[in-house]
Amino acid sequence: MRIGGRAGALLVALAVALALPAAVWGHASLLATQPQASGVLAQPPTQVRLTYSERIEPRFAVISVTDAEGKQVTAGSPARAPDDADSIVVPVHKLPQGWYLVWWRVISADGHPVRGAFTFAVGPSPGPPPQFVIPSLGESAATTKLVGSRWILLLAMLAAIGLVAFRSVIARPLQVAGGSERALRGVALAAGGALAVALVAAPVYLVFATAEFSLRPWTDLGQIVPLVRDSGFGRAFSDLWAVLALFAVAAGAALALDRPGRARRTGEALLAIMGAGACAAAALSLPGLAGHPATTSPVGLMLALDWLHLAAASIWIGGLAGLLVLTAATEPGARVRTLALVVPRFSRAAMGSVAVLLATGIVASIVHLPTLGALWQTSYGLALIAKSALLTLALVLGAVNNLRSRPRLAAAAERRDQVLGDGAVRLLRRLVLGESALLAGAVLAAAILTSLAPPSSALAKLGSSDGKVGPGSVSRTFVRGGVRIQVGIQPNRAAIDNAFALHLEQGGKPVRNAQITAELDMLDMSMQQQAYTLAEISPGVYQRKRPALVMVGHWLLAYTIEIPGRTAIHLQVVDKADG
Amino acid sequence: MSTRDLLLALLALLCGAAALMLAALVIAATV
Repeated sequence: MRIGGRAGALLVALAVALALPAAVWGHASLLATQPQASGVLAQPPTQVRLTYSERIEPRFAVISVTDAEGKQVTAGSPARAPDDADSIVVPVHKLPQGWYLVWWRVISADGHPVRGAFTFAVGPSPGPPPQFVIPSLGESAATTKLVGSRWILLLAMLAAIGLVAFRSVIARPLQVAGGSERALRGVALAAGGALAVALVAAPVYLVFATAEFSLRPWTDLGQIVPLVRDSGFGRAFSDLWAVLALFAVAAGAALALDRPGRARRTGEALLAIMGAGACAAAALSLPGLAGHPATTSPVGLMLALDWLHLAAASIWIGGLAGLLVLTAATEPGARVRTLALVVPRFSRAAMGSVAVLLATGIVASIVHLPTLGALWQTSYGLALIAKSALLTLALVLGAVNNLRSRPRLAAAAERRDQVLGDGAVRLLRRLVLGESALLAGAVLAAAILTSLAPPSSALAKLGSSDGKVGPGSVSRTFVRGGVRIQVGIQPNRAAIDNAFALHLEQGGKPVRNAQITAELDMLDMSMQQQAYTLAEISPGVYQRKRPALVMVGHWLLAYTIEIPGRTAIHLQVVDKADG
Repeated sequence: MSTRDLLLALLALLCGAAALMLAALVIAATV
């Protein structure tokens, strides 16, 4: 019956998770621009308007419009368009005839910066497009300050929640055993300390992140603090701070009510522990809501996985910290007895949480990584490998503890063998210290991981790529089905007009009347796909001039070549465009 | 069973309810 009930609850949870609306993938992407990218306007525009796939906070948006000399021509700051929440507009001065570069950077819902650029011209005869220099703003959410404060916040929060769970569930039998008041108080104090660190780290992290978004120095607090709750990301993390404060009150009440000597909890103690549990559950849900799980489809499932992942991590990390505090705070004579009671209980909980950690981590990685190759080709994948390696090492230490220290402790407690017991405690302490350090490293890898954008979904198409071209102008020949296809990209630079050309020849003769489409996908980050048809400008030469490579980086060009009377030819090249 | 214990338990429960409500608000705004 019990098992049936559990399975039922799991099914209901899964159904709820899957029933939550699934969001579209990834980061904010630019859907439309006014003026049109690379278009030539008869009349100068009064504003530049950018429409995104999600609501963008204009206060964190940077839109620069420069002329061919690099002079700013914007006449104000970006603002939300009055008729559409997903669009932002920036006014421009009266623009004389010529070419202009629009460079933008906005903050996605998960706090990651997304940028791009395009050009437009004011006619009637703007002349040839100049070579614009794209401002390189090497920012990302993975700066040392941001990753460091995020790491401390995550680690302190997980340790605090885990320590409270350790104190009130795993180590609770010590309460009845007697003589362990000091040690248990030590664990409670450690939980309080970790909470205090988290309560300081959260605002620090928020200030650093908001400073990064608004491109201000973090010391400019008067300007930054009012902006903190202007991003979805900032709202979620300031709510996390409030929830952690509530957790501090509830956990304090719960620990105060569970008095030593009582074998069973009183009704009040039970109510209080439920309150603290609710606070912990809420706190563990918030990092996911401010991060990738909330923008990765299926959202409900990803949020549930993230919650389980964090809950399992907190039990493991808090338990290890609890064991260390317990060992240090117990009198040497009572250590063996104390640990012999607690270690087996912790081992069981840790094994369960490791299983949950692995299962949820693996499923989330499969969803986030479009290809297996992305695991070693992208920095996101490398951070994931580092995290997995650290966790594996920690698991090995845990296994040694389980196989060596635990039986020795039990034997020493039973035989009252002081020498064997001291050795077992020393071994346990060393291994737990090592395991804690490795786990702290794994949380650091997780902090880096969650600061990096997951690889673009276009990477999934890379496997079938026919070759790599660029940087610099491209002229490469492929032979497919007896047709010589010469791929040309001139001059292959970002944000300006590029000529995308194909020369088709078969048996030395030009292939005429082919229908050619080219699809462009940005590989370094998630952006909207673009598709163009190439026009036959001379026999066998098909070309289209577009500023389609809107930014520096890797682009996947997928050509579909339909020649009358034969099956379509597909050709994919990865192009690297420079600024 | 003292009044102090009962008040402490109620305070903890209240904190739990407030925390869950905050999380629910964030979920409603995000998803």
